[in-house]
Amino acid sequence: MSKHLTQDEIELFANAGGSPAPEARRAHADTCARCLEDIRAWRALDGLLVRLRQISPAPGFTSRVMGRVRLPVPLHERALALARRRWAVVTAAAATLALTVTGSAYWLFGSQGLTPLEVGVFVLGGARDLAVRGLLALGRVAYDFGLVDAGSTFADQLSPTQALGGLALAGMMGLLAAATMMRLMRPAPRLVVTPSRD
Amino acid sequence: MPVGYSDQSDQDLVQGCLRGDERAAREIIRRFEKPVFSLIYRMVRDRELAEDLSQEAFVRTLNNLRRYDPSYKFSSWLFKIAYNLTIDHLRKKELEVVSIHGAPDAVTPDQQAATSIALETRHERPDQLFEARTLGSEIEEAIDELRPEYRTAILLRHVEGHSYEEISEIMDVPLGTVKTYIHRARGELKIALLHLLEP
Repeated sequence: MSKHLTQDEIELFANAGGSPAPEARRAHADTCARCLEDIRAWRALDGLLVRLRQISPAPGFTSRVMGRVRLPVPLHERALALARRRWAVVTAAAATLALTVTGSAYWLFGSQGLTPLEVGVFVLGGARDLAVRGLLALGRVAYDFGLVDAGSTFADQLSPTQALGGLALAGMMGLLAAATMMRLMRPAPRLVVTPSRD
Repeated sequence: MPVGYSDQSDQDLVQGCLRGDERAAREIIRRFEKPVFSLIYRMVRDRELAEDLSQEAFVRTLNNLRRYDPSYKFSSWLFKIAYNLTIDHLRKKELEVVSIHGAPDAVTPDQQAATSIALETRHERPDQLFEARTLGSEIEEAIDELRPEYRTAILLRHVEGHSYEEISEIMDVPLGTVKTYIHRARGELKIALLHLLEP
């Protein structure tokens, strides 16, 4: 009489009828009462265990878990967040500059008995002059390269008024640019836990 | 926008989670909440505690997906986290566990008997007893009497359908130990359920 089936072999015979087992083992399994009983008991126990049903957790389980889960933030969202932070810095800098220029202008010209409106007009005039001189400087560059035949240098006669006006203009343009970028780069929808369906 | 989350493989859902897709995470929970909760509940026999441990298992799994090695089966990783959490809890409550089944490292019946304490030290509320009976009556009770290691192994094999290799990964024990656990668990169940196994 050959050796009795091992536990692995009993499981194999119980689940797959022993088809992959060697012929000698199959012959033993067919004739050995003890092994046959083991195979039958294995199947019977399997039949009982599969009756164990799966148990559900209480309703709302998914939401409770999701409330504590921090999913990774996608790369493009991280890039946008970084960009948003940079533009916040630019906006703050531009606003500070604009306030400084305005305050300085008022301090400089307010003591001369000018109204705020007159100061504004004066500063804007300076800014306009600066813009014109900038254009002239561009013209000079063009002249140097032989593209045009007339021009002037940028800083030939730059007065304090023009400098302040230029700063104010730059500040306002910075603010405008920042506001536009903020609108364009509105925060992407965040990962919000949606209402549970469970 | 991805559709048909229920048709996606576990690995695809993991990738979705890593991209920040909340619905992929919800699908993972939906897919595994019952098996994980069932296993934990049958190990601790306390619904509230099982809820807490299951919740913690999912939170740890989803919050640490970057550490998941895709060469392993995802469910094995999830069950491993759930199993470790539960075993850690049971070890903290070692007195109760020892009182019924003997010390976890007791292998022979003599060792188990020597490290066992009276069953009366286990405080199971009447409502829990009732629930245990209604859940699966005699089979549940027979499973409940197994040592936690045997119980886990037999449930993973016969209820959840994991292979021996997967159970070995989940329980972090050698393959031979898994086979021993299941063999002994089956032996104990056979005795406990003898009247149901008769032809």
